[in-house]
Amino acid sequence: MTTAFDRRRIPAPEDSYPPELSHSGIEAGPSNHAARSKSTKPIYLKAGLISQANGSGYIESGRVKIACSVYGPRPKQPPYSPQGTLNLEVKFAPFASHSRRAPLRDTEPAALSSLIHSHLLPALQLHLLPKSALDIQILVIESDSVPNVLSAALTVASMAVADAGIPMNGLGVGVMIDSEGSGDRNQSDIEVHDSGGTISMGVMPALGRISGIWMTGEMSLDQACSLIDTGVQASKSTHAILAQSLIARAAEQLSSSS
Amino acid sequence: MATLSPAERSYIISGLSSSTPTRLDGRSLHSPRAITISYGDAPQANGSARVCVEGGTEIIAGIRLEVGDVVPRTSDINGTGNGKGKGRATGGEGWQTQVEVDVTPQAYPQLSQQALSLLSAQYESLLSDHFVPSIPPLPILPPTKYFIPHLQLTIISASSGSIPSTLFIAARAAFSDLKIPKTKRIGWEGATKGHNGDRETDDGGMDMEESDLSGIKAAVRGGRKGPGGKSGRARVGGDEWDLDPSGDGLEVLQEREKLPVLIILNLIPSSNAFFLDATLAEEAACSDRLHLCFANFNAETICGMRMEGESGIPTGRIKPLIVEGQRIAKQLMQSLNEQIPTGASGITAAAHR
Repeated sequence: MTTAFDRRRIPAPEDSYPPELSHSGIEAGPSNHAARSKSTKPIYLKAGLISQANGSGYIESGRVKIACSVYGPRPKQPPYSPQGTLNLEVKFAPFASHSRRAPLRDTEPAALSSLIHSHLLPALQLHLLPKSALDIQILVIESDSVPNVLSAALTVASMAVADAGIPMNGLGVGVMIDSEGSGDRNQSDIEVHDSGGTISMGVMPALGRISGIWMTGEMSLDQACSLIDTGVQASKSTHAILAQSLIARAAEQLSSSS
Repeated sequence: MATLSPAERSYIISGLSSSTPTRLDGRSLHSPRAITISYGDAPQANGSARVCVEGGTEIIAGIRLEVGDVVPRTSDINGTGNGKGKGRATGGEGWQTQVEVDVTPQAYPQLSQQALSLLSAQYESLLSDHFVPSIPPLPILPPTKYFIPHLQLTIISASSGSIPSTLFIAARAAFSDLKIPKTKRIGWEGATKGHNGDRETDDGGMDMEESDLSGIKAAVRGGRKGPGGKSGRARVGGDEWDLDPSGDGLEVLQEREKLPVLIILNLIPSSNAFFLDATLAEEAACSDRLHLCFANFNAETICGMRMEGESGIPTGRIKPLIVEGQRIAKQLMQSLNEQIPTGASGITAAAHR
């Protein structure tokens, strides 16, 4: 016997509206980024995100969100090593990219970890940490393309190491430039393929040294050199933001302990 | 990788950075060791090569072509289908070469199994990032059927160092030796109202006249009507292909002279010079190096850059290093291109100095 209040069925709303489809964010072509193509994209950096870790950091840059935590220096098992060991692990969340990554199979790319490792090494003073290991875990929450992730991860990793109080040669900053724009660009993977080439660099602006460089694609020599120059310039502003967020964190710690 | 004592390390570095640079084997800073390349060592493979560097490094490369179905590029860019767990995009093109580098325990007896597979993953990503994008596609029936090359490199011995550039030379030599079977498309040519498009096929294509739709032909044509069929534009059929036996049925890879080479500039810690072709001991002593890949005739374009090291490079030094690297790459490419065998049977030994 049907009544007006049939509990087995979900009552339908009385009105109906067509669904509103939001404009999809990923589009091939430069139209999406035309407004921002000439300026560096905004970056949000915060140190001290994770309280159990010795040092930690969080970065949001365009469509990349990364959290990083540093544990160390921790004693390392024998055999004796005269220099500290850097163990760096990058882990992607399964929902981080446009298509889902299967856990354990696609979420831990070894090649990216070794790239970030080699870009971070010049900034650290491992000879001051014998018999010790420094463990850095990088968790990518949202990513769009590999060069973007590489440069953002480098920035946040050096912030986390500095937050842990480990002496460094200089603050390393990651920048990504492609051969279409004249500054940092936010690029989806589709565009990475179509443009001439992309350079992802680790720079230590305070020392004027390049700690790592990774280039894919194809471009002429002059283009590559001018991109490198652009990147070095762009790294200075990121470096300033990094330094400020570290100072803010230190001030926070001072005021909370006093 | 040799482990060096501090005394050995400083001995090597002071030899390299002195005003008259000396190396352990007496070479000058920029002189490479002799490289021997032989093509066609593995006749069952579609293309193969073996590269030996004076001093013991030996790498074998082999290519197997597989016919693959490629989904035309969609949004699956992040390569989750790549079961090796690298998790990065290969540009989204399904026809790109798949690379595998086998780092054998006999080449690196001191490394554990885990370290071997890590090294193998690093070399694979080096090749996929900087060598594979320059390989042209091998279409059979574009855009869905391609020959997909599977490149397998085996490091048999690594006793004289400089593995990455030798990997590139071996891959390049294998692609130079590659013989691709010629194919032809067999298809139906759909006739439309008044339009009798005439599509050229190699040998076996069949043209269909306008009104003759009897029996099998009609059924096939009817079944082949694609999305454009109803409006009167018959879709050009052609899901079939066959080998083309004209000539000897094989062709070489186009533009194989343009494939990339990798130059490794090893930087000397306390000086502005660099040296080439490091031995194992020199690699362990000077860990700062710059990898540069150049492609195209005369090494015109740069297609990859990587840096390794502990101390970084001052920003002003990068450009001159890149220019020097290009000059060296040009020489290397020219001498490698001269040695590519032009005959169909390719067992040619070539020495490069």
